[in-house]
Amino acid sequence: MNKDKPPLAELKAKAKNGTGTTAKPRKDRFQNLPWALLLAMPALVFLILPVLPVVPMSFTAGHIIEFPPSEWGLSAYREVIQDVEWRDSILLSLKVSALAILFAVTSATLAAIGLSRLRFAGEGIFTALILVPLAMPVVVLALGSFQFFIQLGWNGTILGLAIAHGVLGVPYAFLTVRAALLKLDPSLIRAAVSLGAGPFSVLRWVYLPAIFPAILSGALLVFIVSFDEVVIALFLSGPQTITFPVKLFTEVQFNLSPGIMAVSTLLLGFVVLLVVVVVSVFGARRVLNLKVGK
Amino acid sequence: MSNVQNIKMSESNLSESISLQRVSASSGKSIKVENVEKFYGELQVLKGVSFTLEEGEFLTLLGPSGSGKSTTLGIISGFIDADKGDIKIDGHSVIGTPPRHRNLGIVFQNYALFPHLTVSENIGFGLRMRKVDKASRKSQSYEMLGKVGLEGLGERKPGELSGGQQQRVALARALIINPAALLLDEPLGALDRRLRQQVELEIKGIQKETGVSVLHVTHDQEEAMVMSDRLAVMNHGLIEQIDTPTNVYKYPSTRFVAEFLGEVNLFDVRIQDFVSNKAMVTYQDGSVGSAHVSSALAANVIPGKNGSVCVRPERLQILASNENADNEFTAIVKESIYLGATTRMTASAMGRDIIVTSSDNENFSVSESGSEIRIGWNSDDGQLLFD
Repeated sequence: MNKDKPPLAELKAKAKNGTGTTAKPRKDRFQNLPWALLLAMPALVFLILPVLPVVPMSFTAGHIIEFPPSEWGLSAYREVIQDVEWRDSILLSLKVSALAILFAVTSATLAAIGLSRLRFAGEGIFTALILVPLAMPVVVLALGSFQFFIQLGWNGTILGLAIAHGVLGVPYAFLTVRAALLKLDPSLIRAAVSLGAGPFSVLRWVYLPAIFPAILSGALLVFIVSFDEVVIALFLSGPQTITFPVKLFTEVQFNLSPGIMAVSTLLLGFVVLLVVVVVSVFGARRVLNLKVGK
Repeated sequence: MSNVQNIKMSESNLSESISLQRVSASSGKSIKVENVEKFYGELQVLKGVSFTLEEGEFLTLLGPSGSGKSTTLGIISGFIDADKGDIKIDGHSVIGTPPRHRNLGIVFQNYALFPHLTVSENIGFGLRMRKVDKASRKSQSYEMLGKVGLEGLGERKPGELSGGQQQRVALARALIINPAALLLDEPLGALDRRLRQQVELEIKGIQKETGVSVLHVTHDQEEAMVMSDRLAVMNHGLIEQIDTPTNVYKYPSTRFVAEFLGEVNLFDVRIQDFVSNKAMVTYQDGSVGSAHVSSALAANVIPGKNGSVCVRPERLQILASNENADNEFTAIVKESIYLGATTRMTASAMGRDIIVTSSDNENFSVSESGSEIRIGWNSDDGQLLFD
């Protein structure tokens, strides 16, 4: 909370947070950049190398996919940008993701706050229920949603897609918000109440400021989950609601062209940009919820 | 730094006239705790606690952890429900009144300042909850900042302040709502010793100035002695004694109270006779003496009964050969430690260690270890207690 507390209070605070293991971080040799890079190298190679050929393959002048391209050009990009179907599917996916974020983050945040305030026997069961979508095979969730939405006539609608994606995203948002709530000092709530704050004011002035970063990182996770989700979308999409991953998937199956490489490259660039921006604004530790203490 | 302070001060001076009335109008209300009981499962943590915080009084609940003092504070503030008994604030029962409508200013041990709000927004929070407009909020917050000696820090975040400064912000935030009473929940626990002594006096000063009633909870007897008008010593869910600091220290009514407030020497005795407030007693070595009996215990004093006489180390005297006292015996000096202001001696008598302290260092230093001395005290300095 502050930088110049007396040592006793600092120790107490640390003990409270359960992080009082070492007084000062040991200067570890693995903290040096070259070592860290060396250790991270296998992961970087295996994760990124397979993706990279897509980039040169997209800059071809021809109509066939080859690596490296025999002739360089931007025709694939021109083709993609002019194609209304690509544009529509990306817009649709963004809409679905936005709604999914709204559903998932709202319900997960309320659930996390509720479960943090109540102490009852069934609490563990509720938490487990909320986390079920993490463990459940996506196909099962897709099939279930499909069957259920037939009754409601929600198949092939943005709403249906967003709700199903929201369900998938709830555990991620719930876990990040819950982690932030565990660090929330309960006496802050009592302080607000003693000064006359009602439930809404407590939410507005104590809970939301404390969990706002967690809500943002939860939203980012739900976006990632929803935006590239293909299994549920395959089940639920209709002729008017083809999400971007579904479009990409079917194009790869039936119409493999340099255009797909161009789309993939654009997507790759977008994701890298997004991560760089978010991490540089909020810091890697905060985004990944590794921040220790207050 | 001083420039910034000057600017801020003049800013607050400008707007002062609007708000003076409200802040200076605060005067304390009384809190009456009547026979409060609390169970956690089978465990009874409060066994019928009753006391009254008078208007404008500074009362401290003093006791070890687990004595029930924090539970009592929680019940008064409304965050814990009592199983039995009543709480009256300013004469009205508040059982069933939610904490936010009790109008009590609470200062928490870790201050509980809102980390995302500035210092002045923190102080003005209670006014915001009472729908006070922004301009008035700001001027009152700045006036409060001045009162607690933090001019010019209003735009800082709590995290940028030292522990002592945060403590004062917490105090200002609790006082600005013009509370019926101020509840201090171990407010100095996180401060180091030197700072604590300073803040003790500051809090006492602010309390006198505003006239607010204060109920203070602590396990630190020194803190309690410095600040309080009265102390209530709690143990095992009961108040063992409630009185002024001087009386609690000089005339403890139980062995626990005697031992909790500083060092004591306890001598087992048998009661021989009892006249007005003085009991004649026999010590284990057969010698006869007398001890003071506080009126609360008078009914328990029956000839033939066992008890103990409690004497503070600074009340024991080393007797010169021509001196006499109401109670006397010989002791063997074990060691003498020079502590600057006082000298502290351990001696053994009647098969046990006794402690003698004195500010008369010269006289003390002659007693070398192994030498035999005569120790004594007058009957008013020995207090008869029962277990």
